[in-house]
Amino acid sequence: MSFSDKHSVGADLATAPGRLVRRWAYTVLTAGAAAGLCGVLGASTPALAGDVRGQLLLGAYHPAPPPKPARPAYNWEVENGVKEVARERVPAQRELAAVLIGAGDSKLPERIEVPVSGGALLPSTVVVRTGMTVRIRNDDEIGHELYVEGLDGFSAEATSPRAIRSVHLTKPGDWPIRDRLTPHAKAHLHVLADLIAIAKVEANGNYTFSDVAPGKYTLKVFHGPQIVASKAIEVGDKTLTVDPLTLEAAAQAAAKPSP
Amino acid sequence: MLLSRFWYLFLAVSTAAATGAALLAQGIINDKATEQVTDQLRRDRVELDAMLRLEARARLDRIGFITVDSKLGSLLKQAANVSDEKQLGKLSSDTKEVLRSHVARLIEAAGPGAKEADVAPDIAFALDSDGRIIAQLGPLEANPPGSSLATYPLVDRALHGYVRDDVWVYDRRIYRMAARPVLSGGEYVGAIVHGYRFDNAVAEKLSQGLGGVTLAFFYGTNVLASYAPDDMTIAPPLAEVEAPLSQVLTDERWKKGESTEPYALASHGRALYSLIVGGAAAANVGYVIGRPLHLIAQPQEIFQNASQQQVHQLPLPILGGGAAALALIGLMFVYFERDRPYKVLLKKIGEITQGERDRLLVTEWRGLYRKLTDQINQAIDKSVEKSAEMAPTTKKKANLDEILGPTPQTSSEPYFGFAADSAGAAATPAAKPAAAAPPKPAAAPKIVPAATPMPGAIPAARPMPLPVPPKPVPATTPAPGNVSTASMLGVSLSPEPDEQDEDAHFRETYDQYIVTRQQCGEPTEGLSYEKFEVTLIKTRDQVVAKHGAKGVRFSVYVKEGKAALKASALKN
Repeated sequence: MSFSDKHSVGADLATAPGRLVRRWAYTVLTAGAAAGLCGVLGASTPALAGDVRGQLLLGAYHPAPPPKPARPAYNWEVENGVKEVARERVPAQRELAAVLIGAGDSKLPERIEVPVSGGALLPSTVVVRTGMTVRIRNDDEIGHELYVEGLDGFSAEATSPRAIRSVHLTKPGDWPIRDRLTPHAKAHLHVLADLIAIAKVEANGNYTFSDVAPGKYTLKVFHGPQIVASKAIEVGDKTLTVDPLTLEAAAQAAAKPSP
Repeated sequence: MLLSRFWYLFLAVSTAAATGAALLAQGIINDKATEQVTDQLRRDRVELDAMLRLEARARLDRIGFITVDSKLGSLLKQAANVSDEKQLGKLSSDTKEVLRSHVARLIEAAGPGAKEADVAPDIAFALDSDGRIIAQLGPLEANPPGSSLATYPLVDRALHGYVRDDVWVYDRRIYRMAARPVLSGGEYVGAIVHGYRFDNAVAEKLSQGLGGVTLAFFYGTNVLASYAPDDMTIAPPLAEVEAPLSQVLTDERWKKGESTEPYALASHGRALYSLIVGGAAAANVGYVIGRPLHLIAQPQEIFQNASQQQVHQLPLPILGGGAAALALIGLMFVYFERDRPYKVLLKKIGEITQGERDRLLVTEWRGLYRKLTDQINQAIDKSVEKSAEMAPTTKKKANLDEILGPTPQTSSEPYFGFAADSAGAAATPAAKPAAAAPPKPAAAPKIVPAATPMPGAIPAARPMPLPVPPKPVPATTPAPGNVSTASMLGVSLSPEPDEQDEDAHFRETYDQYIVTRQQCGEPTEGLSYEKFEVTLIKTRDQVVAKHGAKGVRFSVYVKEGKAALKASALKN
């Protein structure tokens, strides 16, 4: 609406005052008619879906380091001696997943595409609803063989560069994803029965759920196999901005997602 | 023979102990050798890890100059936010040229003696600050830029400013990687990552660093590089160390990320398997170190393995002298316990044969020789008895009568005989004494044949005349070891002995009994003639009463090594 108004005003500035009045009148009438139509339609249909926005506070989040392997992963890891090393931050875009869980129908598509980039899945925390199909697209220049131990249909299968493989997931639960050809690559798969929406997490921790039906949900943030934030929200017909969420490594002890 | 037997037993036990000691030594030596090889392999593993660590440090230092190259830094900085393929392609091309020039400088810096293949990396990347590949050298260098390596821990840490090494599985190949951050304008603008593959040259170099072991790097069950010295005595063949790979991958220690216990190889060698240090360990990339193990299959190989120096250090005089002394002791025992008595026995048997003696003195011998002499005596007795039976009696009597006078009739069977444990026992009468005394002997000298010999008895070789009026032939005390048969015999009296003759007979019997007891080693204390005589009289009376005999003759003989008395009734 405001864009239209500005656009109209901008146009009228170049016309004569009489034409300006007529245009104003036309615009007001059109807007009024539209508003009236919307009111009628609104009375006869459910509330409109809205967006949910928020931010994850990454600065204070220091996840527990992974268990030390029996054989060290390197011989040398020392500072370069020239410049102070950069501060460690969790790569939120690559490793975190923010989802809404609750009752009701989900508008999630039947298929989602997850790329393999930089040697591992992006993001490495994959959350899907039961019955969805995950299309794994290999964006790397080398092949991968992703697999999940103990999950039917997700056995090791070679995926060449630029190729895609599909995995249909019907069994709720969570499993680590491994890659035979890139041993360092680690990802985690969550298959939830009551998943409503999946947000795209930006590198700075911002996230957005689009087109969420009004209702009560639980916002959960997954990091690998663990839940690092959880908050109950109620979505109305307007965009909901959730207070910034603090990620707590200690809260990882929270129960695993109910399938 | 007791000492000889103990000596044989001692030798047998010693031989068994020596054999057991050799077998034990074989087991101990083999265990020690196995333990040493096991320890050596563990030390090898530590040393190999240290060598790989130093080699990684050298690779990191080698590319240090690249990371401060301003041109490279500038190119990577420009590429950071470029997504346009064409622009990125141009930047990639420029960056690749810079990368090539740096590799050339690496080869140059290594010196003329260095092999290019050893210095030039097999793969190299120039990454922007997001971990995107801007330029690369190696098998995939024809790929367009833009692919990412951001999730590799090596890259992630390098982009944060760390210098780090790793081992990668990249495009199904294994690389020893090293990465450094690239600085430009005081910022981290990317990283240089390079890697070398495992090849046989590296394996050989590392093997020689460990003193010539069999060494192989593997990825799962595939061997990446290997080296085994030509001399199989110092290292097991490659095929042997590679054979257990599939088994190693299921080893519990291996699954835990630990090195395995040494595996026994077909040629008795041992091989230790360990994961590599680096991320590739998760893909079962590791190495195996093999060493030979020389086991002793037979105890005699202990001596074959002895060195000349060890042989020279042996106290041969002591060992030889000891062996000679032991042999001498054995021979001495054999001589004293077998050879010498045997010779003496032969000599004495020869004396019998030559008529110098009639019998063997049983008391001279011990053990088996005593039994043997006893048996020989019995054989002589049997032979004499048989000869006597076969010879015509009249002729013999006649001959005896001619020489010694008429022969009295005597019982051929012994009436009374007993082995006396003591004088008292010998004197115990077997029956009640007779009321009447024996009749007087005839005046004429008579010859009494010896009583029929009992087993073990010492019969007379020839009868002795017993003159009644004069004194009977006194029993002579034989020299030890040479007791005459006559002296051992019961003394014969005349067929009609009077009291005087009987007294003499008793006296002779007593003397002979005492001598025989002494020779048998029996005590004679307290054995007085008076007591002995009473016993003889009682016995005489019993015999006379029971058999109506005219008289009784006593004889002394040895029974079972003891002096014994025998009473024979005289009829008519």
